[in-house]
Amino acid sequence: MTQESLLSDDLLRQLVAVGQVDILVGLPTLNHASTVPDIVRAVHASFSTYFPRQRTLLLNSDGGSDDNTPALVRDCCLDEVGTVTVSHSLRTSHRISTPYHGMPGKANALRRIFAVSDLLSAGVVVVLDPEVVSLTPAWVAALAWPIRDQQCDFVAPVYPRYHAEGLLVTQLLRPLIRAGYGRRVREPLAGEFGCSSKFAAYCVEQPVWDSDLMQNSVDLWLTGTALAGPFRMCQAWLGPRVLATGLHRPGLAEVFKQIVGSAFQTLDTHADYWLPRTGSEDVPLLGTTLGVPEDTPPQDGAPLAKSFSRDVRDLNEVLRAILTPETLAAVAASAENADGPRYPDELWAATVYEFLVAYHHSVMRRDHITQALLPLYLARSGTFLIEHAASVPDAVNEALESLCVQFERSKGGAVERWNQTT
Amino acid sequence: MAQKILEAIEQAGTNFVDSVARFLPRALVTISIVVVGWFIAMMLRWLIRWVLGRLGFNRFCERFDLAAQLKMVGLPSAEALAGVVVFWIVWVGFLLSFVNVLGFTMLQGLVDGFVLFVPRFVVAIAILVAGFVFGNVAWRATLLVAVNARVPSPRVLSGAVRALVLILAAAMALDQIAVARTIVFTAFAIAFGAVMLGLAIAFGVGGGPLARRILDHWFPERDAPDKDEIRHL
Amino acid sequence: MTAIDPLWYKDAVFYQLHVKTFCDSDADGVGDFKGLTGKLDYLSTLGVDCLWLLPTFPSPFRDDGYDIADYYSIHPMYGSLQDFRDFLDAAHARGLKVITELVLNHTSDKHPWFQEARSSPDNPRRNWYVWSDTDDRYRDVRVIFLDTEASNWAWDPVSKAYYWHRFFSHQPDLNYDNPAVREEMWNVMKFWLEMGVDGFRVDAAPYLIEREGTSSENLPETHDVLKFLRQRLDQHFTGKALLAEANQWPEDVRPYFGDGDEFHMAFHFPLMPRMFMALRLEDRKPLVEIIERTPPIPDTCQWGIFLRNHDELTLEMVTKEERDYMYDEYARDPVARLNLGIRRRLSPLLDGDRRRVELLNGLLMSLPGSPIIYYGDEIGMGDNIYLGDRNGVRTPMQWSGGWNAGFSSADPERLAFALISNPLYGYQAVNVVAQERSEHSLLSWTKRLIRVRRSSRVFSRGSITFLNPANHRVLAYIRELGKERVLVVNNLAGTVQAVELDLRSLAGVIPIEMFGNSLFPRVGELPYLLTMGPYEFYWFKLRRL
Repeated sequence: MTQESLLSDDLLRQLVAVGQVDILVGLPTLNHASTVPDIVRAVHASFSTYFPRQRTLLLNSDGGSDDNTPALVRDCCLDEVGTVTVSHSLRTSHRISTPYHGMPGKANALRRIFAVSDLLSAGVVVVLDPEVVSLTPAWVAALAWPIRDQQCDFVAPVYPRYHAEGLLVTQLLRPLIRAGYGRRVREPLAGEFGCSSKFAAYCVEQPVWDSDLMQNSVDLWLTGTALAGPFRMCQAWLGPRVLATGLHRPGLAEVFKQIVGSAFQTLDTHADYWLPRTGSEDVPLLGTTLGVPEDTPPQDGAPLAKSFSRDVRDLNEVLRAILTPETLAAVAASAENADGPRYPDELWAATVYEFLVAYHHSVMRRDHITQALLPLYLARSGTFLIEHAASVPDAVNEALESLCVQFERSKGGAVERWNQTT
Repeated sequence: MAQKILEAIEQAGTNFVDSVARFLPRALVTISIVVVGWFIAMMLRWLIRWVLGRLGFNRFCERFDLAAQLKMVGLPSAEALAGVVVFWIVWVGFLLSFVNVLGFTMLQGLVDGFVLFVPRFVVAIAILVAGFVFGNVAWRATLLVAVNARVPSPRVLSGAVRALVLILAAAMALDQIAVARTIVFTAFAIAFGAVMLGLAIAFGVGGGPLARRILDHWFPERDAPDKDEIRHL
Repeated sequence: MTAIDPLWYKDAVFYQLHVKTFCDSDADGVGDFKGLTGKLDYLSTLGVDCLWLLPTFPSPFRDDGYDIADYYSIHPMYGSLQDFRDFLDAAHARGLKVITELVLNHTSDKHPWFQEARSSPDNPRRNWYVWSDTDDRYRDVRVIFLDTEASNWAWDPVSKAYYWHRFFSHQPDLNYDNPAVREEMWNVMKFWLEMGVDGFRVDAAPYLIEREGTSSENLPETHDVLKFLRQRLDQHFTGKALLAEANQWPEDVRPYFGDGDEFHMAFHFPLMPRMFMALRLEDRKPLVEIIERTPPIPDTCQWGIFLRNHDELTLEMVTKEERDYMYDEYARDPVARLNLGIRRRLSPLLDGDRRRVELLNGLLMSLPGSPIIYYGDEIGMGDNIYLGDRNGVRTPMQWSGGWNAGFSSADPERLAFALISNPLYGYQAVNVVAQERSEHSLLSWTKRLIRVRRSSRVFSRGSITFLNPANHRVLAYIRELGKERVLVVNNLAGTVQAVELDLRSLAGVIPIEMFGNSLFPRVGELPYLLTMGPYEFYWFKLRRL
């Protein structure tokens, strides 16, 4: 009896020719013609500069691009011997571009990359984000070395950020994942990462690939799996993360729903692991930063925070089903604060946890729960920006650390409510 | 003459006793059926509550605010209510069987009518419940989208959506049980049409910027991001 | 494996060694336990899981220690009981298990029990052995050591009676009809088990009971005795294993497993000569037949399979034609023949051909059963058929090319057994030190082989299904355990072969060769073509992705 395979016959034929590899770089794409040439060039340079003796493969898993992305991957810089003047690979460097079937998305692409790495017993797997234009050859090396030399199983990236950047990460994901899993991961949403083939083989075997969780944000699931599973995790400094412009991306509401829903679902899946844990431990951070973030003018938080009180009023009936009466009252009071809207750390932590618990107990449709959190997140982000408009980076970093500590402190209450049956 | 009267009385008495004698077994059977029916109905009520309890029916209703609404109008929980409904349908069915047993053929038509009515009634209830559930979902979904898209008066909008759904469900339910069909149909058409017309006018006259915002939300353009735009990721 | 796994023997790779010829620590020319303890790291690195030691009891050594004079001690030349305990502890510390010999059937005639029994017909131990006034009882019983014994009865001039012996005449059989004998043998077992021994290889299991008019082999009463001992074992210990030496046809060995209440393991004797036969014939038929003839055994039981051991390559469980063929092909020199067998080591049997040695080891590690490696075969040691009895395959272990092959620092003239010193197999050419220095030596290859075998339980616990391709020179089978499947393909011929395998039922799987992790094309609906070099074998893990 045959069953549909993850790997087409054509791909398998190419893999037979490639054989075992030491470094596999995976590049999931869907209509990324504008960015892939530079990325492929950077990967090619990385192989030559940092891994000249290793058996390497660049595997592009494409979701059906109609802008010639696969051809660009295959044909890019084949003749550019001048790209590297001093070093070159001693071995044949393989490059495969293969389409996958099913819903286009990073999860499906990643599944195939992992399956190939398992099949080829790849020593190191590095997955890159095709939308990043600031990627350099050193990024590949930074993500690969800890796997190869330090026997890590999962390497999460760390980007030098301007302090007002990545609010969804700094205000919500980072403190929540840190307090939840008890590990200080700075970038839980790992757009690019490195992993061992042991980790890849484990992921391929999980029966979650067709679920909403994976289609929404496979990155968070990977981080959660690395934290909760029998894996050694570390972090590596990369450079500033600059995304390409002109690409179609969903709006904030959709992105928020997907990412936060994914975070909640990942925590739900790994509840047995994180519920009993308290405090947090460091995750080793290796290397040095590969660049500095560009200067950004101060961000104005007022537009985010201005509709705080109105949103709370409008959503009162919905929030009543999610938040405890005390929290809801505190949120309303903060929104109506005479000196301007505020959202203290403790209240924000309580809010997030109560949303998480409501999600776990499915007090209403889960996507409604995550949508209801968005206005509160905007209010929190806005008030944070207002509060730190004139702060120096160190002060901001202290405030972010303090937020994380608050999340750790507030976890106990969430755990109690988690275990109650309604 | 007195003898004849006595004989007539005796005859009437005998006839009466005969009638009673003929009637009594059937009455006893009817009482037995009713009592047995009561027990069966109670068992089914318990069974339904148990099954729904295992399936988490109460939790399901809470998700769609049905539980809260039932509480508000003083009804028992959804599982209990379902049990009660099943109990009465089953027991009334048993009660009505006395018509057959006792030979009240004149009432047979009524019973038949009732038997035909019950399924439609159940369907109507189901439509109402579904309408209620869907209305709540639509209300909440509309409210959240509207709030996140910065649409003005999101509560009014979401309330209107819920009202529309409930009106539709009510009309369908009444139509199902064939109650005042013409009046219901006409009233529904007027109300629904009026609401839609009002929305269309409001949207057309004053909703230009709103429409633009909604369209932008659903079909965002590929703009270059503003350097000052906040980066959430 | 951990000590608490009661079925450890099902997954274990066994290593059979003779303490006497393994390593000498006190320069008396004889190996001992201290010397063996010093070599445990080597054994641990080799990758084996359990050591099986030949007898080390006090003995007059007329049968290399299988004639036991004291069941509760160690012969002084091997060391003391404390040395044995230290060896056990050191082995266990390295995760190695140890099983020793349990010679149930007979003792030495020098054993105090026999000395007492023969002294008088009224002696309390008289009935511990089998006596007769005449030698014509049990006429239907065959003689095992045909080359040296004319009869199973021997006359004892002291007690003026005949005593029964299935093996050498100086090895009188114990009488298991006597309950005292059973109890005493249980005490013997308990003594060693309490010390920490992990089990026993039970010598000569089929011959315990005699009955008139029978072959006196495999009798129900014999099984009763064995079940009695097993029951006692289970009552007092867990995680121990009993391995039966029952040189019988597979269906006759089957009763020795009982319903999981007799032996844990038994040797699959008939398989062994057929591996050699199939190789010479370049035909898989003998192997497939014997395995298909092998009955299923209880889930808690396991076959022990081997290529060679301390005895002759037995040709008892083959037909006469097969025996003649084996003699013609493997023992042209009659000196190599002994007791219906061939007394040669693995490498000389295969003319020192590395490819054939590898192929047979590949079969050993991939056929159903727990494999047993005979000491020295992992480096391709040779033999000396001119030494008496089976001593030619029991020469000292060749550790290095130096003094006495690194076996002993004694004067070479003092060695109990002569070293192999010819230019082909001599210790200067074949030794552990030299082979450890090379990634491509037989020793290094054997370590890799064991490592790959241990990477999957499909080899130790999986089922076997033969594919029978048209090319009879190729033996191909699928081992399967749960969702795991391994395809094993062996070219039994000394020439390049092409073979088409019908793998339609596995269409869609991807074969991955297990030694190099090389991918092979996906299996489809068409016959799967493989080309194989002389004596080559492949193990393919079949993945579905």
